[in-house]
Amino acid sequence: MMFYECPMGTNTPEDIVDKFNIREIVEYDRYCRDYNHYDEMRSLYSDDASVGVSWTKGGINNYVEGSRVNNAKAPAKHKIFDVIIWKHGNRALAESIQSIQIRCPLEGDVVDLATHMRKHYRLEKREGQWKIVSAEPIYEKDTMFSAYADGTFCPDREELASLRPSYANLMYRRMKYGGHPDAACAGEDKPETVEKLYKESSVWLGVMEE
Amino acid sequence: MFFQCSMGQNTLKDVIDKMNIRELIEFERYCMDYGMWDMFQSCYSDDGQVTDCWIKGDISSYTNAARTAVIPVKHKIFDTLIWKNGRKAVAECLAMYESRCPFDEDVVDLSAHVRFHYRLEKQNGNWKILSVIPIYEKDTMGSMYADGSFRADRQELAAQRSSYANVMLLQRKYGRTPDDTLPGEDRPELVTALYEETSRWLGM
Repeated sequence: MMFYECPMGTNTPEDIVDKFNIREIVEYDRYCRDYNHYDEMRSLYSDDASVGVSWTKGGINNYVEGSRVNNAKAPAKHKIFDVIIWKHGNRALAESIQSIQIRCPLEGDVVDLATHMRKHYRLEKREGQWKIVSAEPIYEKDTMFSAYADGTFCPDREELASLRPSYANLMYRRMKYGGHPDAACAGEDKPETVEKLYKESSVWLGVMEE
Repeated sequence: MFFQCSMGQNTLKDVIDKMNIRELIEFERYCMDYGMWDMFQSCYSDDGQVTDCWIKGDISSYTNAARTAVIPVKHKIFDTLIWKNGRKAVAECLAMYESRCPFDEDVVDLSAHVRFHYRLEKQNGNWKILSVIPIYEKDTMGSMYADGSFRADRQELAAQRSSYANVMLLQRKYGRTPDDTLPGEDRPELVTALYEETSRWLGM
């Protein structure tokens, strides 16, 4: 079965403590990213953890260093709505449903970028402590407008249309800042990318045959 | 610093404490939004202190002033992080607060991103709020109508603190004098000073 078909709402006290700790780790991960606590963020991940985001894919140390650089240019804030957790023994999956907010200068104006996405985490309990072993984004939709009621920002429609619909504005902003966003991230506009990730995670969690 | 306390290693007792703290904070904002002022005050220690952008004081005087406040506010809470050390705790509630109110000939929607920084203490077996202060991040204000006429004066906006410029503008419009010395993303030294003070208070 898929991970999301695991029974929900039937937790034991031990499950509740585990899920509380997992949720705290996942929320604290974004808190550290937002407020520049990089050593604390790194401590939440296993040494062999991998992270995929629109701007990089690789090991955790690479992600931490990149976050430090990116936050200095266009600081992001992650606003988490809720976190859903599925646990199977010493492994767990968590999805943090959130909006990434970035306010930054762009094309002579100041813009507010808001990207709705869910961050898909794998976690493992090692030596009694939950650690993040991977994190991948699943994009849903985004918008970008001037921060002012009389602002001038208006992105080129043709350029926007050439980008992935589930994170077109995020890609647009990154390209204007000289970046090369990954066009192959999982997203609502390409359900097969989500399906692939979900199957891989279900196998990893041990609830689906390979 | 308080935020360097280990996270994700809670015992069942810690989980119960943190669940109670989170509930208290969410309920405190709920009471403010829906005008349940006696219940709001009951979330605080008798010597609790509240700092808001337009008023600062002890919990009794704050509650009395807030009862008749002219700008309605609704808080939309994202997540709440909690650090505990014995009978003391620090919590940060990441939220967006919204106000819809008349402004000149139009009606505006103000939206302010803020994290509320709480200190709490367990008194006679119950967690109580000792203090709360906002840390501002960014805000926006626009007409509630797609064809609304409201445009903030750019010069006036530029004269305010950038992390809560629209909040300040709205406060002035309603005859209040907003505090321009609050911690915010645009004044990191004020956040650091608050964090150091709180970390000492927490016993770190």
